[in-house]
Amino acid sequence: MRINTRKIRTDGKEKIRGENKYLEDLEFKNLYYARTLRSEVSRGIIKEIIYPEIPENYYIVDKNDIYRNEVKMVEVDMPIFAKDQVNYIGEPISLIVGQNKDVIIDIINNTKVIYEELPSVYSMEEAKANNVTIIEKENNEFVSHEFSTGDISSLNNCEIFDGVYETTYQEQLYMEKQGAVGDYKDGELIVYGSMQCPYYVKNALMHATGYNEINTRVIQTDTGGAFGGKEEYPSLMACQVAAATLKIKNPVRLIFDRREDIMYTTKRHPSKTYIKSYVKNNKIVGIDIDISLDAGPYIGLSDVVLQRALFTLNGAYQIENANIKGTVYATNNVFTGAFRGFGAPQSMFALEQHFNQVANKLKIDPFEFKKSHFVKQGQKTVTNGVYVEKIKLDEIADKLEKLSDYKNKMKLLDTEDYYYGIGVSFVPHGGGFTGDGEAEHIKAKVKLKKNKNNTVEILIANVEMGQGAKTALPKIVASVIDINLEDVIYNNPDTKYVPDSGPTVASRTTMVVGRLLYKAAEKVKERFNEEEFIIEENFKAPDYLVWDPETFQGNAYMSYSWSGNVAEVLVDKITYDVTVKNIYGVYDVGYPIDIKLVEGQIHGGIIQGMGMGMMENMTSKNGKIEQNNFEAYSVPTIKDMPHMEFDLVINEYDDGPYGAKGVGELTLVGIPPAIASAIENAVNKEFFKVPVTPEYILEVKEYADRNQI
Amino acid sequence: MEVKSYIPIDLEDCLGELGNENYWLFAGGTDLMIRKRQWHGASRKFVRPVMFINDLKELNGIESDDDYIYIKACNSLAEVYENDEAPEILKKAIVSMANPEIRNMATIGGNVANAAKVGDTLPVLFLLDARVELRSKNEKRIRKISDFIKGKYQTDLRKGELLYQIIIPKKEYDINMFYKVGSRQGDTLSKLSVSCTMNIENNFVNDFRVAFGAINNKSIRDRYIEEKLINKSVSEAEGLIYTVLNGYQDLLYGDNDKRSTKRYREETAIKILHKFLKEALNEK
Repeated sequence: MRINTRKIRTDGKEKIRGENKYLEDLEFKNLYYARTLRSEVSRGIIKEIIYPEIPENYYIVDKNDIYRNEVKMVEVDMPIFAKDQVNYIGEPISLIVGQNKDVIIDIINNTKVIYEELPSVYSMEEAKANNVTIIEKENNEFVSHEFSTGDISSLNNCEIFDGVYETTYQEQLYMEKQGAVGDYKDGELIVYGSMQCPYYVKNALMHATGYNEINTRVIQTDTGGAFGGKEEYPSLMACQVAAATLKIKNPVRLIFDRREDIMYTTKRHPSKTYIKSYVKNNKIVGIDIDISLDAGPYIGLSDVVLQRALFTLNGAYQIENANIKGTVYATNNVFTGAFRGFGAPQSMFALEQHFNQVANKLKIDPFEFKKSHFVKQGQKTVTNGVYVEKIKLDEIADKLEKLSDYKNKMKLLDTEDYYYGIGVSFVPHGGGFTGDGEAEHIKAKVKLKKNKNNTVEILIANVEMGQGAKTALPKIVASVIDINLEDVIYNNPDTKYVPDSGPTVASRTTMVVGRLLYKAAEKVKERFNEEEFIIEENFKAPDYLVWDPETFQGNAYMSYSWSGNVAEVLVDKITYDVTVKNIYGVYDVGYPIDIKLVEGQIHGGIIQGMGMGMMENMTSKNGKIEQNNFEAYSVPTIKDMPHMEFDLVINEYDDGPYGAKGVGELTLVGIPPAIASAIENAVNKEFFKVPVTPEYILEVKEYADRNQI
Repeated sequence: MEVKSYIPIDLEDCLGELGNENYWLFAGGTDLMIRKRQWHGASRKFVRPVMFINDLKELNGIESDDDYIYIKACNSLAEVYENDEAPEILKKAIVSMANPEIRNMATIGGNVANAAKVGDTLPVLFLLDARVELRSKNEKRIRKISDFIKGKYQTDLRKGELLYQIIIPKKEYDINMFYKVGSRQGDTLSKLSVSCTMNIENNFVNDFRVAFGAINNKSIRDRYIEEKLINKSVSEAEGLIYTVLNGYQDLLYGDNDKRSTKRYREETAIKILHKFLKEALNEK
């Protein structure tokens, strides 16, 4: 087949028919259920746990049942089960395991945990104030980075603009809840689960249990959505079910309730970003940025999230002088983590909103203002890396202007009932891991196995989680070798058989893993007449990639994808309800491996971005998430979907398969600022927070002086 | 935990048994099944015995005579919506509730007897001067809905009693509006709702009604304020718009909660009413 042949998703039919099996559908012989006993206080010392009498064949699994009570992510600061102290509401203390769920519930309801409560920190402001210190680091700062480019202190006679921009929690709300099953058979520890990163889970299991490479095995089960929520969190659950199964030597299943999942699993980091810009001749020539992220009580992936937030802070623009600072704070709120965009939705909202506001203050059309700052090939990023590839932002802007009819739309007036507004955003998203991450940490390895019957099997650790990997990657292999798509086999990864091709995150699967498969497929093609063989391909960093992880200088990413979005909104003059009428998007994702999958990512990114931009208002009160169900946590439904149109700019990337770059995260990142800017345009006020809810519009429009928000 | 459940064969059996135990009445179950759940796959936590009344013939069907419509408690919201005689404004409220699947199961009696602050049929039934008929083994009594609903999840239902039917006076309303403000376009609970009707004849307002839902713990209806406009000419009434709005402003006590803010609820409700009055009084 050829790469541009349109194909129906390989996993589509069985999913639409409900035939495929998710973790909850799988049958295990003599299965035990586990439910988590959770902390009821946000910070406290556990003085005593008084369990009721435990019936025969029921078990308590806790900190004493694990070899090393640490969840290995980047650091190992998070325990698998609370040690002597709990640090957030919902922190797991133990698992109650048995075969009758009613009995388990009964045990939990009759268990009493006695705490000596300690003072808590519930916000980044409280963390900074440092009246209470909750971690063994100064000022409740997990980590802080600062770097600069150019020389901002040399700027003089500039007009100064500033603002503080905030984003709140966002929940991934994958359809399939988090879950894992632990099993122990013939000396082998097996964990099945809904996950993005089988090898993260495997490494965490080996660390926690002391089991080795050979007798630890992780099998990904069909995964019903993830969005980053199943990047690091499954490692915790896997270690818990491992402890349980090793204790009772029977399979143990832990699947969360929706409320547990919403309240206690990782969410997008709340952020606060201070931006000060220096303007000369209607151009932003310098920028000072300080970002804070709320990590909750454990660092998890938060440092990496912060780095992605920081490294693309020039956005789609050339800014010669920049001071960039960022800090991850510890709080006793729920533990935050990976979510589609990974820091960029927070920092790009702040930057884009600031650009929009500066343009309005200078009385320049925001579209033109942003265009006049576009970065070009050969120029430098905030980390002093050189943009080596072609940058087609001008082409994106031209297409976007035509597609959205921006110039005429700008002239549209309010109606009797609605304020009309239009907003625009331009954002980059770096594909693959940050800096030297791919080369130094991930070191992806893929295998292709040519079978006697002329089928070819893809052996990688990357997963299908709804994004289309099971269609895109086989398409690459089939088209390189020139065989039918049906002759390429790609099963859910089982670490017993697949090499570590890295996690399914960071918009890297098609671009990085797909490229390795492309190269492997070329070798398979050459030897296709041989009966049976395996080709292995290892990642090598491209020569142009220069990165110093100590100083954060160089190319933070191998390549960038780009998007331009225009949002049109109607704001009800009475209720301030916002209706998004149209979203237009033009994207440079290199080359689309499958146009329908790209469109799917675009539509999904728009909806999830709309949620972040105007609807999904998730708040934490005294350390507890307040919206814990589908009703209170309002995500957009089909009725809220705007009219969506998109176009692509083809810009092939030499080190991507067929020129493909990252897609998945980019499509979300530009939406919140486009919508927030459109609302600013509609009601003629400035907004500094997303989601822009009707309640917030009311406050800004009718009560707040714009400088005091 | 095991609890007793009872499926009565007819209304008489139901009322007879109701006096014996402190039953939860289970009709559509759309709220109860959620509220009582503990863990997917585990039993619901019913600590009291449960009686399943949804299939009782006597509690289903909609009847009418010259003056009233009688909606039996176990009609689903969808059945009420599809009935030709059900008031237009009630249908507007119903179609804004939940989603089609839930509307097929949830009953109007459940929405009333549950007495949730956000129950969308409640303000409309207040507006329609609806009454509820309550039955027990030896008694039948009729109460105004505004007396039956006492507060958030609080009603005047007595032990051994069952909400038998909702009685709505037949009346034509020339202009009627149910305006719900939620957090998205569908499948959402009210942050607030405003229900209004007005009848104008020969340039005189001969009826005007307003009810606010989901703001205070109990729906708000105030005949005294409504009467300020009744029997006034349209132009007189127009001059009294602010008097009316001020009157209601004093009655609204919204909350700050996970769904919205006090200020948003109260101010938006007044604005919606204001717009309704301007349009209703200018149109004629």
